[in-house]
Amino acid sequence: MATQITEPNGNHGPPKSKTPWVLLLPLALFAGALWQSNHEPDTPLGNMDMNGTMSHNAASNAVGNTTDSGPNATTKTRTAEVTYTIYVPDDNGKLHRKTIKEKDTVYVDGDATYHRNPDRALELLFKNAPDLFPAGTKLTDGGVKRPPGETGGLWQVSLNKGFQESEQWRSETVTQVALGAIALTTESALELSYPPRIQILVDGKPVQTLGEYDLSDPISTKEFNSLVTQG
Amino acid sequence: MKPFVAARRFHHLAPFVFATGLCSWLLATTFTSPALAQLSKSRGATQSVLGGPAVEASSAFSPRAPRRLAQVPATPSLAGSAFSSPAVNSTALGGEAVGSAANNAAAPSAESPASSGAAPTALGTLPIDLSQVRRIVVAGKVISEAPLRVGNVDVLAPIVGENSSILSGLGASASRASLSNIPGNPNTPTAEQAFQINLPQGDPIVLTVGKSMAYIKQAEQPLRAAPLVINGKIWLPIFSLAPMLGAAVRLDPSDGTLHVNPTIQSVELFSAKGYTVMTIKASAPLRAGGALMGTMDSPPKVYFDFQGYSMGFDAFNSTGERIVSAGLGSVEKARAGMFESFPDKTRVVLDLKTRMNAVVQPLPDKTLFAIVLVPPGGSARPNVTNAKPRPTGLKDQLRGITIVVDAGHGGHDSGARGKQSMEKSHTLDLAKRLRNNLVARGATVLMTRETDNFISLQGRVDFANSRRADIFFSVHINSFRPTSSGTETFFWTGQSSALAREVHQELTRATGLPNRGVSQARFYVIRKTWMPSILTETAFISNAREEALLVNAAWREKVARGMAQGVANYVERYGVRN
Repeated sequence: MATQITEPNGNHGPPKSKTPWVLLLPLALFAGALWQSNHEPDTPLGNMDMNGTMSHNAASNAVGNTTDSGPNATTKTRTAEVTYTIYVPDDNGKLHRKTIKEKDTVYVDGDATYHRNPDRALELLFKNAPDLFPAGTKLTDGGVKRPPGETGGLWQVSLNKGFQESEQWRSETVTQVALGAIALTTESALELSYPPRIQILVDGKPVQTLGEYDLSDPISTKEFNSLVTQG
Repeated sequence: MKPFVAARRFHHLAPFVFATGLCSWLLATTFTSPALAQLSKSRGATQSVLGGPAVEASSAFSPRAPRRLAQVPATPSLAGSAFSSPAVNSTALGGEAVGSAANNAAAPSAESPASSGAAPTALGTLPIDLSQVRRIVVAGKVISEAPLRVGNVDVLAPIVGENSSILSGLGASASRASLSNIPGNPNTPTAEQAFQINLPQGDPIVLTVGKSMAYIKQAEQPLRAAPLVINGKIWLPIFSLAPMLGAAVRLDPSDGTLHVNPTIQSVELFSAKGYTVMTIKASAPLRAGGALMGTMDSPPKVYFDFQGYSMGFDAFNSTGERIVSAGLGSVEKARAGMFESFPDKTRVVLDLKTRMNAVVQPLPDKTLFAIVLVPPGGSARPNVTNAKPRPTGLKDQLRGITIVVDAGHGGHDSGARGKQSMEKSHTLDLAKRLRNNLVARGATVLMTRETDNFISLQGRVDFANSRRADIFFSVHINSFRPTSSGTETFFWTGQSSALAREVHQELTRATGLPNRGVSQARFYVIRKTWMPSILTETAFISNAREEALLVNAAWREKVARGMAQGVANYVERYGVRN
């Protein structure tokens, strides 16, 4: 009788294979890399201001930020008022910065404090620019995350199917402004020292086109700089 | 998770890993077996002698004694109209071209239930049920193997290898891929599985067995399905490949035969050495006897039938009659239409102001068919082969330049909607007016669509790339909020920025609306086309005041003139590639 492996979650795996173990080596290496990517040494990002409000402006956090990793074992957390920067359109299809303050968990590592919650930032964007996104647009599959093993600055934004299928994207300006708002808001919330490349996923797969827009490779915020107005 | 634990957790996947490796090995082994070995290393496409007996000797045509040439059906209707065959849904002469959906089952009207409501994608949805396909006929040759259907995405057929002569019917040949054409590191194992389709002109299409991506000039061209090797033969995705070859794919619903035909793509009229010259461009070298000529005295016409060639004047391969070139010299206008279907025959008609003799002009490029119009009793065979179009005025400003005009959206993709109109209607009207204005300046203009049809983004790109256009101009209308306003022009590549600037300057002057500027944006059609490409947003349909302008024909004409002036300014200042 074949032995069954009990998974950590209590599920039973398939019958044990007699395949030579050497074939498992690539998978083991991949899993190891995956584990490593999720457990990189962390460097706190950003700075808490004097009244305890965390700034999320990517530009203000650029200096000194050298990693995009998250909390580690020595990181402490506490609740503080944080400021989200989202990008919302005006009537002429230009994007304006808008800040929203909320209480959220921040991470404290030594003297540095940081807060990274791009999911919440995008939720606020969808809520504050309702005519820019299809009704019911929401993050899925873990929201904003770095793909396993990714080290090239790629971040994925997973959205629900209704996002892609909307007739909203028949307007080129709506499409361009919506993608710009997502990219700029995500970048701001990620507090990275480098400009991320952002890929839109629906059903776990990269979206190739949105309306007339070509998304066959990741977008970057610099493509949308002309849309941003000051003030 | 520690690596060892990971190994334990995933070890049940080991058979899958092994199977994947085995498949890759089999794929590579199979491909390097006879299937690839059969591929010729020569790039030479089949080159047939232009015209058969009927077209080789100009004396065969007597304008004074109109005669029906061999193979032209004896239809009494010829006397009335060259396009009155019941096989064609013809429109009134001189009227707007209307696509013949009934004769174009592979790409029916977008309003058909099969395609309505589908979300437009880059590759587009296939508007036919592929389960209807029973057999494939390529350039008149029947493929003995039953086609392999890949969902409702594409069908595969073995048209290279042993059947290389079949591919030659489309003007192409297959060979092992040149290392320089393979993107990335040619020393990778997948390079061994690469081969290329060679075209009469231009860069080869590099394909890889098992990979749904082609490369032209190392640029990615997505395929609907991957080429496969089955029983030692390479099977190619027909719907993916046809647009790159300039071929039309049309289903005969009566017997489920999918016809893959070369196409007639454009007609150009120009003056040379005092004569009016017409060139007809085909996607594949014209076969011996493939072009037949006929004449009529009253009203004076001369027509040319291309047996086995489908219509390829737009990205939809619409079969309806249309005007394909404005008049010049003794020619009132040039029209084209599908005279017969299954097998297809495309007819090009020159409506003449006075009776003229048409003299066939031999050319080295066998995809070009050229005639010179001479007065009755004039020179029997003027040689204008080396004549270069000379700019002499407005009507020659854009002579010799091919421009693809792309009317945005169409069919089930209405584009943005205003209170009283839809974007797709405005883009089509503006595109036609732009076409007329460009033709008036001497340009050869190809329209991605001339009717209310849906064409995928990739279909538009394929159309422009396969025609080797000099300029790509996509016409769109903007939409955002009720108070959004202005005119905007987009480009992607550096080579396109000058075109965008020149057109935008004239366009904003013509619209009189706020200048939203010239911007770089990754719109699919301007990112994937190889020539200087722009996308214009004339006005906001969401703005009631600007929509009122859009529904005004005089304003649209003014805008189209501005667009054409911008193109002319660009060509004058920057020229076009050779």
